[in-house]
Amino acid sequence: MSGASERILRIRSAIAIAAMLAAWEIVGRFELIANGAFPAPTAILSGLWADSDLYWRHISASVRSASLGFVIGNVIAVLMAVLFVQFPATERLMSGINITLFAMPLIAVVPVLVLAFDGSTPQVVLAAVAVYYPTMSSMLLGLRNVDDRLVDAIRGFGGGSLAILRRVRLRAALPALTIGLRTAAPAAVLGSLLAEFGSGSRWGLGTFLLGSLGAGDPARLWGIGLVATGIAGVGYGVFALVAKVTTRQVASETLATSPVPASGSREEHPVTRFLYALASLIVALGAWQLLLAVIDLNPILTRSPVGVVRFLFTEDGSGEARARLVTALGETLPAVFWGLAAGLVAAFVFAVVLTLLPSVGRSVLPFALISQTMPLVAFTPLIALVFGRGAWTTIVVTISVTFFPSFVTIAQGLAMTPRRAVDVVQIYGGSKLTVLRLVSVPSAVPYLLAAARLAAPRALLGVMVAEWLATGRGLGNLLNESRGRLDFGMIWSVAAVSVVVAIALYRVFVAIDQMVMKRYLGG
Amino acid sequence: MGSTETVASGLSVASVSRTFSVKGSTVRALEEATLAAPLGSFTALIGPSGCGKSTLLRLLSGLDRPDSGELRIGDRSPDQVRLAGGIGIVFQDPALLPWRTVVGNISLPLQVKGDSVSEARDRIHSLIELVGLKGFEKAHPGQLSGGMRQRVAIARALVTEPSVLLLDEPFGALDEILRRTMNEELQRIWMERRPTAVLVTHSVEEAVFLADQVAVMAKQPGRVLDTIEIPFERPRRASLVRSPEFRAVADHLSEKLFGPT
Ligand SMILES: Nc1ncnc2c1ncn2[C@@H]1O[C@H](COP(=O)(O)OP(=O)(O)OP(=O)(O)O)[C@@H](O)[C@H]1O
Ligand SMILES: [Mg+2]
Repeated sequence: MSGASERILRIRSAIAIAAMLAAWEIVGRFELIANGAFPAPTAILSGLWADSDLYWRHISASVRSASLGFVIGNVIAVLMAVLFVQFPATERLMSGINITLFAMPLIAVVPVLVLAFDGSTPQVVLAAVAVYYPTMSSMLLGLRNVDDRLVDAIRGFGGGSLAILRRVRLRAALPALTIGLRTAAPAAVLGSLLAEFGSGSRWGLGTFLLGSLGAGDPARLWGIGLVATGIAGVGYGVFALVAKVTTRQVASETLATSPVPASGSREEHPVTRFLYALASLIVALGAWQLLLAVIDLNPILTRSPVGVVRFLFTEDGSGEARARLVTALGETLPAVFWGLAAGLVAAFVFAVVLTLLPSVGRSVLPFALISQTMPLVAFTPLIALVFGRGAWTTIVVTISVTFFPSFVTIAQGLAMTPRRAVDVVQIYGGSKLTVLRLVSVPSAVPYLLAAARLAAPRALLGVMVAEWLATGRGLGNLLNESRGRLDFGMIWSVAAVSVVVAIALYRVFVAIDQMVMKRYLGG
Repeated sequence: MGSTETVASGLSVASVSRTFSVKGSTVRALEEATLAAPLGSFTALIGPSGCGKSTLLRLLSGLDRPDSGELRIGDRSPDQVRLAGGIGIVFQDPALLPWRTVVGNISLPLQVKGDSVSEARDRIHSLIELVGLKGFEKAHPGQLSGGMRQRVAIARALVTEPSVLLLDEPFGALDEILRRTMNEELQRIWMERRPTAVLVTHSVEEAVFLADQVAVMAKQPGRVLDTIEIPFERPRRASLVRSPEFRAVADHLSEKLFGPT
């Protein structure tokens, strides 16, 4: 494409943005939507300016804990990736923990963290938890993805696996690592923000957001959301630059890959596979028990795995606790399902339509990439202002956290539609729509499935945050209530059940993926 | 064959030019390229990498248009022939849809054209037999070898009974043994219906074995240097390759391509 048309495109998107801002300003000035839930951009800016001292203290607290968590989480992630590549069995033993850290809705463990740690430690820990998976998985991919001939060459010179690690793998993994860090930076911001929900911290953007809920000041809610987005965006941008320097080849812009490769069905004895799965479960539960021992808290506050089972099944009042949990699940799961389905369908349709309008697509993709890094849950209170405190808010929040990453994944899949296959259809006079129907849409199916796998945990997080902040239903609300009531057994139980649900959800999508791909490519 | 009237009703490329601009610099992929092939003949294009062979084939398929010059297939433009379903094409890579079976891939052109697939079932099955894939009707491309996939692509190109068959290095990825077998099969398939065929190849031997005429191309700018008639009777047998007459023609062609040694 020539430079001129590129320029026209840029001018056109600049005009579009300006028009949007102008429309927003008018809507805001005259309070046209939802009684002023969309304050004018100038009102938001002047609010930021007027309270800049306040903002500044919250921002620096958030940045501090996010950065510390970012460093700690990434160091652990890199070390674990090295361990996994040197001793592959450890990866399988740790897979229970890895999947937990990938799929777990971060908010589920917030009350537990707040019980266990003081000060800003919960924020740091949750930021570290949030960055672990993206960095670890990218690093692992980078360490594994080396030229076999180089490995053979080092072996030929008498080098062992340590020499290979030192001379080849660590160097080769650098680009992948930076791409992981790029995804991890906004995740750290999200983690530190969520950990302030229900914590006693005075400073931090999460605290600020919660404290502003009742104030009836939409400009402030916008201000906080935009500032959080800005911080996440800067983090992403910095590591995107670093990644650009370390990667010569173009890297895909998708978020973290999933823990289980779709094609990863190794030929293995079922008994071995079962034993590994069992071992990884034991390791995960053991880690839980070990953490309790390490933080050494008053036993009243904590529940071990056995403690949770007792709370839900044998203790006094376990029947009532179970009933509340089941009711909450019954409210949360349908919301997850509908929000996820709507987000995926919207992303699919949008991505497919944009392939018919490539110039629009090119101007939309950058926005989609940025919005992927936004801590969208920070906008939940605003969404609640517009949609009320009912099911719609939950659905809209869930769509907004699942739509963008799914859209990017699917759009990139569609962009890789084999050129020759398109030619084949055009040779016989096939129109664009025919190409879409016979080639593009079917070839996007694997990407749709991948998007579903990635989006499912996000959907659960979105629903729980909406429930906590706005709707007063479901698991998120139960968690918030139990926190207020000092119902420690329930806090631990909700956390455990959320993790189990998240993993189950993820497993279901992996299974669907494998089934569909088997039929799709011939078994 | 070869008289002026048949040329007029065959395929003609008259002073065709096509330039591409890539990041400011222009590539003259074809300049004043001229070529004529009688109806039902077999033409091979041979030349160094980047001399515009694939570009010429795309122009002939109607997927791309020249900057200047004219291409005709009989009394119609390539685009008209394409939209009437008169063109079959095989690319260097088979470009099969991985989620479709062998039968599904071969039916694709019919579906695009809006023809009934069920009515063409017999034709599809006889094509599968023709390319030697009987028993693999339900297989997916991932389960086939490279040579088998290429044969699916050939069957797909033939399913609409095209009057023009375009082949862009269809056997480039195959080993020498399989390539010779495929050359013989291609000749047999082609002789059944005699579409006007244009084959791009890097192999002198393949060109001489299959073609009625070989167009030698040169690059920078891409153009047709010369065309050489290949006189051998059909059907040509594998043993022909070892005959002194064949070697003489092949040597002559090599000389045109690489210069005298
Ligand atoms: N779509 C395109 N855009 C830009 N340049 C192109 C395009 N198609 C072809 N070219 C250029 O035109 C020239 C001729 O390309 P073409 O593919 O026709 O060569 P070829 O003879 O088929 O080569 P090969 O034997 O390697 O396949 C090359 O320099 C190529 O870079
Ligand atoms: Mg070519």
